[in-house]
Amino acid sequence: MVGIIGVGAYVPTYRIKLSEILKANNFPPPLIDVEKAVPNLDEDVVTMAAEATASAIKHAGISPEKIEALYMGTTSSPYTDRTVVTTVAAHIGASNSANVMEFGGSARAGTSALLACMDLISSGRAKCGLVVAADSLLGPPGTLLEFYSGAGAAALLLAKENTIAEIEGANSSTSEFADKWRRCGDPYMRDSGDDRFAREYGYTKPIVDAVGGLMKKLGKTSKDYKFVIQQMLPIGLDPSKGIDASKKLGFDMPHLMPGVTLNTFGETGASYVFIGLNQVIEQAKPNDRMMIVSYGGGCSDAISLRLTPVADARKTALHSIKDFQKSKELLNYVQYCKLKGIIGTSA
Amino acid sequence: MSIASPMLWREIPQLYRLIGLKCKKCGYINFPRMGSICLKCGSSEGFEDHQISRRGKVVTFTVEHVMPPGFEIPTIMAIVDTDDGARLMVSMTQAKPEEVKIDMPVELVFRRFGEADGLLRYGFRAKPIKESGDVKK
Repeated sequence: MVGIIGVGAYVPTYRIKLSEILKANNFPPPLIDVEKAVPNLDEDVVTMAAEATASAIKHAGISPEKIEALYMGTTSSPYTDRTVVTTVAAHIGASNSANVMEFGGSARAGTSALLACMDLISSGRAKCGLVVAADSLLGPPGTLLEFYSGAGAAALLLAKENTIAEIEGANSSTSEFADKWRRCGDPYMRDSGDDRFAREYGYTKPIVDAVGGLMKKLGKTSKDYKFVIQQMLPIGLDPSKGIDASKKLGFDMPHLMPGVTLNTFGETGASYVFIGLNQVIEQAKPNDRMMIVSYGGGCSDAISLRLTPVADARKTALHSIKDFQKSKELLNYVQYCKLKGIIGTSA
Repeated sequence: MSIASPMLWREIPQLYRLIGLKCKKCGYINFPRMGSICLKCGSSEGFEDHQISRRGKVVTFTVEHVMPPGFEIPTIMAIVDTDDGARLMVSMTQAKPEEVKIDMPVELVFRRFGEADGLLRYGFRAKPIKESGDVKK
């Protein structure tokens, strides 16, 4: 059965607190203060993806030449027309015969890459593949999108043998729902502004359909799952408001909280669910069942995984998400604006 | 027309992977990859590829306040001795000039710096290792 043999993530050093952003924009302080990750001027999705990939390779303990496919998901590549995953491939020393693909479109870009890679390996066309997702997001100053748009990357290595987690199945749901978008050349994401409508019809419905459909396919119920690593909506003040979808499926905060990084790193787009997966794997036990649920633009992918005993054996090689919190440094709003290009730098 | 592309192609092992040339005679790690004779012993017996360690320390540094367009000001240039005996000149990242010291431990990280005609350039820079434990490789 195809599964994961290695996991790695990367989150930049810098953080900005929500209270700092709100103060700078003349808003009252938040009820719950959270942070988001901010990349340095010399970081982008390529550098972050490269670091996450190196970390996953270390966890898997394999030689990079064995990677036959490198599939990358991002919505914030510095190029519209140039393959950037080749830079990641060159950095790790992948073979020239490896196949590379890039996926985009929404925060689902990471799970899109995962679905394609797991099919590649299931079919026998490749024995080992890399899935890497990275995003560096930006919202207009003073908006909810700004409050939560973070940055990060995460990578998974897939193969059929010696897996730390088996992929049991996947299911998707699709709809034409415009809740968030970013035009080519626009540095900012934009949204409809109607959060409640977006939450009920854009977010809840596709997730309930994707996850419900998956459990039905596999003959499972919510009782079979210990963890649900799900793309969160940045509703900020009251996280419980964003879990209507989960409650409908029989899940609650104990399933969701272990995979949440919205409050520590922000919305990290395509990499969000994989960063959460790294965080969950650190505390999960063999045979624990977990679900990855991504969401982007009215569509959702749900993937069911089960941890194997091999996960415990490789635990020491897994890089902990906690380490990214140990070395963090806080920014003020002006420093943040310079790093995100909102205001000019001395260069 | 950009001149960056051919250079990028040739220099991928050193720019993207930090692979030096280890002298077959004396073991010295030549970096950048210059190719014909060993800079230490003068031998032309040849080299083998060597993956340079990502950890090292600052030997000396300078703070540049005047840089070409597109480079951050100030830029700190450092000579770094890696744990496995290679010596490189790199720019530093996430470092304040007043914090940089000789013998300061650094990690070589993969970053983006500079562009030519819109083509982005990636490579290694030295990032200070803070005591809070930025240790992963």
